[in-house]
Amino acid sequence: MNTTIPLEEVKNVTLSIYRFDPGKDKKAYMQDIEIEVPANMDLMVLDALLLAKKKETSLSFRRSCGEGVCGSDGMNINGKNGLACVTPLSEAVKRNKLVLKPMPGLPVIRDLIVDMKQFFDQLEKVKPYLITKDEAPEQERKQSPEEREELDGLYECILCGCCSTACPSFWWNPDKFLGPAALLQSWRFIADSRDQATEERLDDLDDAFSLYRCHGIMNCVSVCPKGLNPTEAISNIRKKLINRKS
Amino acid sequence: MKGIFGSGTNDFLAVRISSLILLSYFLYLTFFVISNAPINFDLWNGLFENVVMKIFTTLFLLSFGIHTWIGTWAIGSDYLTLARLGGMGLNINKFYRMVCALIISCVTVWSLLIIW
Repeated sequence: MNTTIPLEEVKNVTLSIYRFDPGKDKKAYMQDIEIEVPANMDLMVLDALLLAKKKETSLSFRRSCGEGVCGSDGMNINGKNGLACVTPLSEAVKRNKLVLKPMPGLPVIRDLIVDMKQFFDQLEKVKPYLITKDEAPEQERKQSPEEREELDGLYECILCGCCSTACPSFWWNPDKFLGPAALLQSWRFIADSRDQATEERLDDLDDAFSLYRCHGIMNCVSVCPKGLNPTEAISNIRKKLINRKS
Repeated sequence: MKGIFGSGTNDFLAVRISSLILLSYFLYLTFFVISNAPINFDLWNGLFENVVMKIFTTLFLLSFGIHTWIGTWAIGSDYLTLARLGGMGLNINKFYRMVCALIISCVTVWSLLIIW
């Protein structure tokens, strides 16, 4: 992007960014970086971060596809988790200021980069892959169009972590409560007509923490950049567990 | 942690069913007070002399015990943990649960003694 724009066509935005370098900082601090953005076009938060990085080259953040597919640039944007690459500045900036922090609840590696190990450990627990017991068919395991439709709104998750790190239950018990992202994936495979491990999957979730620590506050729904509904998935698993009792 | 009643689903059902009993008891008492206003000692005494009301109140008190025990345990396991409070976390949690158990059992047992 061209940063030498005529003065009358730019506006100033102050990015207040969480900074922490474990190699030299004893504790984290917020750094204000002023950038000039074109007045007549809407950039994304990621573009603003790239402009800020030109001024402050040590600034660190994850990014990859830049179009909301890879889920790398999840962060806390003015108090709400989201993907920097698909969040327009016009929506995020308040009074010419934008506060950017790492996603809450996970250890910070540096600046806006968090350690996602706990998040992926929880995902691993739900065995996010098809489990089958029958012999593999010659070509493929078939589904009817209706059975395939059951997976809409589930398979689209990009595992950015915005939902789980917006969930207080995950903050308090990140090692015990699986979190909305992992539970959405759990339901994705329970709901899959080809999967043959429903009972085992439900058994694994039937403790006091893994699933039932969700209190339905729907932060996950509110922040999901893909518009998915983990609360509904959790509710569906809960119904399945209760129906199994009766 | 398999749950206080053996599984997460059992705990969930216990909380939901007990909350329905608590709600229906509260609604009935509200209805009784409004429909008999102004309420006096004889009316109130008569209400609790009735065996059906005694059984309903016993059910209410047991529901209160179950509901608050699971609820306070859940609060403690969120906020009073090793991760949040450091080395003292487990001891603080134990102390908190003892205080909760004492209050809940005193309220329940004492109320049952009064009712019966």
